[in-house]
Amino acid sequence: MKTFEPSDPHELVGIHLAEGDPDFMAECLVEEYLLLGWSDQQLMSLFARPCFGMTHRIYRDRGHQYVAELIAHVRAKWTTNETDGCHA
Amino acid sequence: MPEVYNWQLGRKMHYPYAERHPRSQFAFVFNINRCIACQTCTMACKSTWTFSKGQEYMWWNNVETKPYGGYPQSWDVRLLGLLDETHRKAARNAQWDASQQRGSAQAPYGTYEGMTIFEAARSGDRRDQVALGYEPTDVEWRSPNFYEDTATGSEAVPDKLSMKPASLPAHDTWFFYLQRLCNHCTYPACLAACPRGAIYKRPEDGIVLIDQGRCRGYRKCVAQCPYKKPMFRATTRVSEKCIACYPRIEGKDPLTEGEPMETRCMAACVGKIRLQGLVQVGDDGTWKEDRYNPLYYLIKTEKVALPLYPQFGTEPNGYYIPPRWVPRAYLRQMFGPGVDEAIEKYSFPSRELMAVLQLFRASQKIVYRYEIIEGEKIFERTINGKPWVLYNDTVVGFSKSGKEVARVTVEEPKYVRPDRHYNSI
Repeated sequence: MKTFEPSDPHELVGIHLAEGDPDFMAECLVEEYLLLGWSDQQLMSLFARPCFGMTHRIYRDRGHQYVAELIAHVRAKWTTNETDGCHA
Repeated sequence: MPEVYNWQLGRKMHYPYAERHPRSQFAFVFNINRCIACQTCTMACKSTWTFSKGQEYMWWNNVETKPYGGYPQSWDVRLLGLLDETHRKAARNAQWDASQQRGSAQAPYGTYEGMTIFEAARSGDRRDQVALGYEPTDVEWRSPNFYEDTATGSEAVPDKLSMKPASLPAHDTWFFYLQRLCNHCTYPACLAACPRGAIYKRPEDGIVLIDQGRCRGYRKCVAQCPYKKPMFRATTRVSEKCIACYPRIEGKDPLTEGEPMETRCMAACVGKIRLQGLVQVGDDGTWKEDRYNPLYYLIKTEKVALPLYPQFGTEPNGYYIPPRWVPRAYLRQMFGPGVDEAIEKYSFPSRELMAVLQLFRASQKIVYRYEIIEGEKIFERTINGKPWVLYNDTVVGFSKSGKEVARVTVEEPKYVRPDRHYNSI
């Protein structure tokens, strides 16, 4: 696989945006799928698999433990179920 | 130039043709909060309509990464720049006045005081255009998702996912995915721009089509559609665009036994972010009261779904539930001043909204009306300082003929596939 060349004018250009909160973004995404009834394992897959660019970026930045704690935090906030997003 | 009423702008505006409205209008809602850019919608469209020679770069449906990406590249940034330049030359501000009529059916987002693309073309030195626009270059059309966040595959082993991270430098900030297709606008700029009168809006459902026989390939539609959804086909020398899968909308697919069916891109959505249907339109262009049509409820009653770049002035019929985590200034530019109210309502959804959101992808058939059967309270808590209660209501969707086509509970039903089956989780 070719390596990234910063001097190549056709390479990807990232833009730094001062505002915004990637942690809040991660929490919102976990909420969305947890409330669809996803299990911890399914949610972790959403972050751990590189084919989902948005969530995997968070996984790479923050690490496995961060995502695991985030899932637990969101589940405790929105449900009473210890294994998935169900309420009943 | 006649004046027409644009309810998204809360005022009349210039448009080359007098007002004439369809009996009903093709419309859709996308919940951006749930999209993970799997591109299933994109491939469903591509494999149905644009797989032939000369259509290689045609992506009638695409999902792009914001704020970096766009297809064609930087389409919205380019047009916003042109619009801004025209405002500066005219010493005007592209601002909204939300103080007066906001919340009314005639002006739900207030009044836009800036210029639309039609008005900008008249005011500046762009008299050669009906609507302010530009024709993208071949490089800009070169590929969707160029510079964007895309999935990684495996080079070494065909048909296998690579679990190695992407080697491209990644963005260290927020972003979101924007799903796009033709908005089948109420006041289409492509239709207004066509010198041949080859583009028309169907009276029965408001779908905007290009007559392939009349089109001479002048590409005025390509240049002046602000959303850049008409595309030129070099092999036939005519332009093509999304046809809203009209045979499905007409109920011609034998699968639904005559019932109108949602488009391919909508029906294929695995993230359950898409809902599409038809709304009833009055002679004056306003939507007829249809309280239990899910689209009417989301857009007009709850106002949780907003038009994309309403300031362009075409009155697009695609609506978006804005992503909660994105800085508000960016979202207000993209979806107008209704953003704060929409996010507040989506973040703490009402009992009815919770139920209606379950209709997303509950059926391939178009849901014309819903009913809610009240269920028991299953959860109650204070979340982020606000009391919130969840009821396990059941929402029932009905087709055009009144047949039940969907029945879903708020608590998402969950089925675990036995281990013996392939692809079990």
